[in-house]
Amino acid sequence: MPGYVSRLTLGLTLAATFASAGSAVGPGTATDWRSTNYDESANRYSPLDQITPGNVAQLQQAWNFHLKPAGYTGRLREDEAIPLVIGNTIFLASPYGAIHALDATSGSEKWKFTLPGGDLPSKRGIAYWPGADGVPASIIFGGLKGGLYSLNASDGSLNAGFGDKGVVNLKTPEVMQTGMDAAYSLLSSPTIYKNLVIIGAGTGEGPGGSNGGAGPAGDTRAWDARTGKLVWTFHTVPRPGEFGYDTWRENSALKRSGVNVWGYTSLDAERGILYMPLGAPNNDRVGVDRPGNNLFSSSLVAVDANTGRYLWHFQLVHHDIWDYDTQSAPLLVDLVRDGATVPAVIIVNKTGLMFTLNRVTGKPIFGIEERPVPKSDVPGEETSKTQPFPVKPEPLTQMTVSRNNLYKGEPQHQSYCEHMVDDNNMKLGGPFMPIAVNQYSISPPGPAGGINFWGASYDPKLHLFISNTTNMFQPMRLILRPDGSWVNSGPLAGTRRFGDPDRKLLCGPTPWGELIAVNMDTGDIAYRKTLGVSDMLPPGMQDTGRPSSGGVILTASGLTFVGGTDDFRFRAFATATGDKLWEIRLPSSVETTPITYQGADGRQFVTVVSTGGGLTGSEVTNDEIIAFALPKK
Amino acid sequence: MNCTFIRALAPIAAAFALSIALAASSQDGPAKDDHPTLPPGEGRDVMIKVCSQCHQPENVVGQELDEAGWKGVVDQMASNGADATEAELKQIVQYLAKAFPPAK
Repeated sequence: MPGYVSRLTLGLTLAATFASAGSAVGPGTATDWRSTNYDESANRYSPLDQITPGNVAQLQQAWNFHLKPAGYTGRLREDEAIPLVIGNTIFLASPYGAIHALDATSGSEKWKFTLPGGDLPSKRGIAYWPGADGVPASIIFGGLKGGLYSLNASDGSLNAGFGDKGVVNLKTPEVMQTGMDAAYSLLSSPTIYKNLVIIGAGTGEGPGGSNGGAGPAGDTRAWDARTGKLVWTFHTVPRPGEFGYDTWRENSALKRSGVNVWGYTSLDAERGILYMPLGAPNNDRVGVDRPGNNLFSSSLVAVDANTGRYLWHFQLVHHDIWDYDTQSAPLLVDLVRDGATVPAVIIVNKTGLMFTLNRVTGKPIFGIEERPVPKSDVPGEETSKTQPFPVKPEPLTQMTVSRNNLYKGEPQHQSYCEHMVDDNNMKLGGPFMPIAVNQYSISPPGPAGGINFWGASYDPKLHLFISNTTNMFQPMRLILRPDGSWVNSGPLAGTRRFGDPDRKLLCGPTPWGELIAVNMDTGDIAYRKTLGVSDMLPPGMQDTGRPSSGGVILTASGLTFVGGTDDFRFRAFATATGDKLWEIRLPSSVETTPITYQGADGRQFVTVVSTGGGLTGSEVTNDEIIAFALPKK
Repeated sequence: MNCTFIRALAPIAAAFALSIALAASSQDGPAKDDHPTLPPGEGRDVMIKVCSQCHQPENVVGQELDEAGWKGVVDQMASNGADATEAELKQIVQYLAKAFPPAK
């Protein structure tokens, strides 16, 4: 066990009791959708069972609500936010700079809060705190400009006692270590524990080139939900004297940016343990200036949720130079092993590898092996000789690409892909192949593949882990700049995916997207189903699967709902078998995770934000939140 | 003003600017450029203003794209909520396409 080093920042007293329900809005129940990933365990498994495999095909649109404000004439904006439902109110962040509270049964507006100064709310979610000590139930969320807002959930007014008239400035000198002018935001929803608001950090990816790694700290922090006072700070990049500092040789931890939670934490409320998934360090493609394994980058870290005290960690990628962020909410599940119940945590990331650990001790449950991986050709780049691989399950996504297994099918596209590889002399390879010098290289899945921040779900009745996955690769190429620094550069590098951008077709082997189930009793794959269609290909060739951005949810009736794919479809499957039961084509792709809840009229609703956009690059064609339900009897 | 005039005048203007800069530096320190890796060009100031709302504008350094490629990137940022007029977005695309064209 590593030595304990306190990361406790001097804070105010902690409230040790759960908040009372002294609000008209109430504490929330199991039939609500109380937090981004349903609850703190992030299982996204609702007990609702009115919509069943037998009747799901009867789903109809019950209501819709347009996010775009009246009179707005600018471009449509994407929304990746996941709404919350408490009682009969649905709360939603809008990319047009507002928080909306709607009647969850009818979709009519209850209140709207417009952020001041053109600020935008976190694009990936908001949090609900039930209230305490005279402070009402609140909606708490971050903003693009570094503010943490607290609104009265009943009427949308700012809670005056929180920070400065309802807003805490997160851009404090402690994290703005290279200057106050740098960009700093909050991208995802806070996690609520007792009266604590626990947040990650939006530090940006940082520029390439010299000094590309310095910037705001990615520290995780907890704030008092009543006052907005800072309670604790966990240094995600260790400071001198702290455990892990020596994994950044040559003092390369100092002022290092990245290594932040820009996705979602989860929480074992009973044990008081917070699980934080952390991103790659800046610069995330070149590590010559940060020799060592670089804790706690691309790691899962468990801390005491009351104090931020380090408990244990597991690093998924050593010395990350692939931008293999770990950002999905760690799934907290109870598994039965050798007749005993084991508290477990499942973590997935962009590598497409899935690790299962005892969530109290951090010890592997299905085995983990350190396996040799290729070395970098970049002078001074000391890549790790090994990387961790789970013994079970097998990789969820493709991890190797070769000249022989490129896309095969439509002759025009097949030829495009072969030319793309041959004409550019692309280097194709397997897991953790470092980015090549002066040559485009591809090591699947790459920074755009695997399972990104939206994560997976777990069915505790069927003992199934369920997720959509993406096989979308990304060419990268390192160039030496005149100042002696290295940068990932070139017309085929950067934001470009491995495929034809005009036709939105990928060049890796199909399927380009799947729905996957893992049997958590055995660690084996239960099924793989191709997810998504390529409408632009001729009939008979469209069943390619599509990349996703946005995850699955599960219900106790045995249903899986998922949008995510960039083919404008929203679908339902039988969780046990992966058989498709329902599908609807929407005005845009659903680039976020749906929710389900019970309305005031007793009906079960399934609701999605439909805008398009997201990491798949799907066109932004809509601005709606749409609710589905069975027909009224 | 024609281009010949500008070319002929350029060395003089540059020398004048240098003398101003040197004079300023003796009293106030050198003029500070917070973004030395962003080449000069029309639209640079707009690009810094708009892109800095969310991230360091230097994130573009290393990307090498043609105008269509940069339009794709800027369109994505507009979808993310970049606060800019259509004219400003166009200016940013044109600046980036000139400052960071495709490599050979």
